[in-house]
Amino acid sequence: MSYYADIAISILILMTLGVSLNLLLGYAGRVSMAHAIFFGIGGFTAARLTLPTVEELGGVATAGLQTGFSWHWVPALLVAVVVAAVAALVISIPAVRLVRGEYLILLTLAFQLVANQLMGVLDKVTGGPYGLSGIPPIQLGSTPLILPEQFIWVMLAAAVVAIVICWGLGESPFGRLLKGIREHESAVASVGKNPVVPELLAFSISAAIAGGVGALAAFYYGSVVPSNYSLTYSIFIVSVVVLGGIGNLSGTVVGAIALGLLEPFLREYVGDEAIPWQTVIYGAALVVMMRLRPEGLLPEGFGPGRLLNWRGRKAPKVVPTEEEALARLSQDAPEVVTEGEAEPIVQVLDLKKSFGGLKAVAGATFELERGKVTALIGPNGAGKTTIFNMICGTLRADEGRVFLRGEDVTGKPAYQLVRKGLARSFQDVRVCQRLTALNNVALGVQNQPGERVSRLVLRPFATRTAEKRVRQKALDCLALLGIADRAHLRVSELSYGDQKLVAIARLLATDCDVLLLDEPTSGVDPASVEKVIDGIARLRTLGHTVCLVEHSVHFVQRLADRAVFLDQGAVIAQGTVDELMNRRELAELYFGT
Amino acid sequence: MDLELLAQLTVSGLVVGSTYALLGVSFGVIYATTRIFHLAHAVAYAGAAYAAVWSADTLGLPFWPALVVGLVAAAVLGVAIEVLFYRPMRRRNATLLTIFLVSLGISVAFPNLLQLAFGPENQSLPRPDNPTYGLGSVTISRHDVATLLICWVLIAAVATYIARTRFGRSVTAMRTNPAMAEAVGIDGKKVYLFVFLIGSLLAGVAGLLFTAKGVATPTMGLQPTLTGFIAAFLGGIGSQWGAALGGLALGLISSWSALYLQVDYGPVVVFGAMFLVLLIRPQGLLGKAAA
Amino acid sequence: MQPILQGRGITAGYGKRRVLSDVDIHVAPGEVVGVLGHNGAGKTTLLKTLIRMVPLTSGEIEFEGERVERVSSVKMVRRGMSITPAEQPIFRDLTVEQNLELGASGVSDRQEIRRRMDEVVEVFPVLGERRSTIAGRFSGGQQRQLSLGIALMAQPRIMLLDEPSIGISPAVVGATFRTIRELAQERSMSVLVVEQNVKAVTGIADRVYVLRNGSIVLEESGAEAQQREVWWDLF
Repeated sequence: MSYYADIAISILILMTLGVSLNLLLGYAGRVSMAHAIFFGIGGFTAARLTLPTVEELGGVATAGLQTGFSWHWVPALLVAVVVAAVAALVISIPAVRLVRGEYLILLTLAFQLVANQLMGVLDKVTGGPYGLSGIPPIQLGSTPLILPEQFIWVMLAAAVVAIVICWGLGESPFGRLLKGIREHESAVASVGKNPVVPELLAFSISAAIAGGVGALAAFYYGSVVPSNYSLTYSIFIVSVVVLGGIGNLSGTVVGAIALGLLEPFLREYVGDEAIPWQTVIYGAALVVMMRLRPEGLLPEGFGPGRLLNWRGRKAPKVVPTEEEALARLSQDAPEVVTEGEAEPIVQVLDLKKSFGGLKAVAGATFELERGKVTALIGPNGAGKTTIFNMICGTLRADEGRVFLRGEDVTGKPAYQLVRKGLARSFQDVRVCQRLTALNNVALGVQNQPGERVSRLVLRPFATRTAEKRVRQKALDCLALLGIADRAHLRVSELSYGDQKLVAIARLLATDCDVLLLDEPTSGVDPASVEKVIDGIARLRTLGHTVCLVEHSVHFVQRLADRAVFLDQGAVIAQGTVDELMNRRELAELYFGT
Repeated sequence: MDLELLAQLTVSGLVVGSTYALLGVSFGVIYATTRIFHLAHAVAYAGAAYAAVWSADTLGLPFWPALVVGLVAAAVLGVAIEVLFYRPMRRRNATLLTIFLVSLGISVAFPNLLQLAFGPENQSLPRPDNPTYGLGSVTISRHDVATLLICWVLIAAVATYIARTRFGRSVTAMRTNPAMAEAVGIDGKKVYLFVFLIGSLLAGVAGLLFTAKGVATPTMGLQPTLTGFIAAFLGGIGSQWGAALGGLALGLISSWSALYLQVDYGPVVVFGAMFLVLLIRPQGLLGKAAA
Repeated sequence: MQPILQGRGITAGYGKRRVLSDVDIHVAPGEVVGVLGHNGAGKTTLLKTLIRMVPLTSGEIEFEGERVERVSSVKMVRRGMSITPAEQPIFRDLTVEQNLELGASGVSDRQEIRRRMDEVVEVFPVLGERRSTIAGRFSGGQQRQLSLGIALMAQPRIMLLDEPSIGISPAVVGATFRTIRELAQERSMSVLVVEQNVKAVTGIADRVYVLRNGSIVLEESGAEAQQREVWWDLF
């Protein structure tokens, strides 16, 4: 009995570590090669804190490496969790500036090796290569939990807690944000969300859980040894996650059981060579799996998560009609402008930009009128996209000013502009392929309590109610553009035209009154173009001010109230599209001379 | 400060740094062009060592021919990983993350295969004499001199080959402008094969240099190749001399740190240096800032 | 005359995104053909599909009488088709000479490369004067000349040019296009050029197509196109 319970405990430890790593790998899309270290940091912290003091051991005779502070196990566990979390935060500081994932791989890989070495060297802290032993077991009341069949319940409870935390976070609006960042960091920033903090939090939470498990393992085994926290173990945890399925926690549970049973099984058959065999097998499994089934045993989005329908893939029960959606959305929408009024909402004053001596924009001045659709047109290289990027804050202007409702917003980063009411879309859509249409749009909704970990923990029910409103709003936005019936489908299952509509709906969900659309119809098949054009017309109905860069004159003609004609970075003419098209000199500029 | 000690540490730092430089270049050549975080690079390092030991022990080959066998093994292993694993995955548009995970699987399985085949104990080559020479108070062994010479001759050769020959320039072309490289008909497959071949050979040389003085163990490849990775990132991806400089700097820093710290802290200093450089100058010492 | 390049029913795109729908296009030997259209109409994708860089969803491509749907782009270049991208059509970190050498990537004979280089330098003297200049330092117009030089190094029988007017000042556009025309004539080489600059293309093209949103909406002779006053309804 004890034998099996012991095996079960080691599997549960592996499972908990895997689940916590999957929060990072699956939801945030980042790899940590140092998970074993955070596990170990928790172990050493808890060990040092709970070991008896020198005095308790009878004074000088036993003073030395195996003494501690004689803490109760509960505070020791908590401190272990915090220390691991802080260590993770410090390690990831350089990775914040480096967007590319391989830097986190490099950093954590190096950290893994260095920290593991340090564990063997810092003998005052860690007890040297043989580690610390004699760690007192957990006491429940007056019973010490020493036997495996007693301790297994603690570990089971810990595993359940970890799964609930990771699953709860992963499937919450916070998890949605993580997934959004994983797929398109720039898109998440463009709807006003900070793309860095959630990733750091995920890394830190993941490490914190590993630290907690480390403490529990220390209490159970009674000793902590540096060689248990090797790179091989880190890789083992990664394998568990990858084999089970990246982004699927049930997969991790399955993976942990499968790989965890490997060692006792091999011990029966090959005896002492069990460890190398085990490593060869999971290494090979990793290779084979990635080559044949990169999504793992259980792919993302497959499992019990669906039954509980937090972010369910079921078709919406009630698809709102366009009228209903319009009615609800117009409550948040800007005031509709009455005819005849022409009032500038965005003013662009003398913007200039050069790229290495080449003048891309040479003093552009124009205005966007409130509630109107304005198109920027002009030949290739006229500087349309550059101006667009300068207004949105993705590119810094050399000179000139941009005013939004009279306020100088020049050079403000995208997320601040969104709060002030200006947002953009991208030419290459940047919708998150593996999220549902609804979740993509929900990313655009501002001020979601559910995107903050603190709120999720402290006010779980309030965030759930808020989430209902977010989803309703997202659904309304989709309904307005006529694709609410596809809200539950993954974006990768939608046509490209529908994906463009999802991107526009996401923009609409931000409640910004000025929307900048970068080539909304490019790449859209002729049949869907009509839907996009209708959708943009709806934005105007709602009272939004729209500015678009669009090359197809055909669509510009149908969409835009006004056009600004640019050539070589300067505004040549402004007026209605028809007016401009009738001017011969503009045609010459457009089609060449 | 103890000047004699400083001089001795500088010499040993230069020697160690040269192998780091070699490893930095070997990883940099592969990574800059393919963007694959080729963790399985350690396979070439350890593979070369074990092949040499095996051919000396089992086939009874003398020292030098055994080294040649080691080099061949390194090249074969490196190229095999590219051809059998990475290439088919690229063809199916696998993400760099998935390719990395495959690399991870290989790098963890291989040392254990070595252990199953050769046992966990140390293996060594029948070595030639290694006399030491004195320069004032500083001593340097023949192996050290050979290490310095071999590393820098090879680094210079690779850097020159890539900068000066036509094929070398197509490697640069692939790295700096892959779309245009495809447009002029440069065979990407060949370029990839080349960088894996060269990179793995250099890693093999480093592995053999180590084994010629020390011993081969199944997990010997990991630590040095990771130091090579750090050197390449430190120096700046895409620059051979940058990677070499990064490696040399790492060797010197970790050696000098022995003035103040225990030898065991060497890796910590290396990590600290990387941490700082990545904070201050993410593109590396000689790297160009991303556009 | 048998066309050197012919595409029938070309449908292609990237994943979900269909960029070209059922495009028919052909180029005769020695002919200069223009494809006009707005940005995002699918012009670049058309060129990349013809040289086999973008996979076909359906349709056929014939080059010099042979079906080439399954041929790799590297082989297409070796067989005599060249492509010049619109953006970054040179290797910025390499010298002019090295750039030109790379243009002849399929040739191993050094003498032959020399000979071709001399020929290219004759056409673009500035390249000869500044052989060892790093290409990134060149002006836009010079870079464009270099990019044409790189393409010529492969001695293509058909050149695919993607918006050669990009990045050069309007004053140089005319000269660049005249050079393209002359090259085609002297070497009886075909040219397929995609552009938004209508006037520049109609000035040199034997025939033009207009591509709108992935489909061909017009095909006419260069002379007819030159007469056309209003283009707005085609874009």
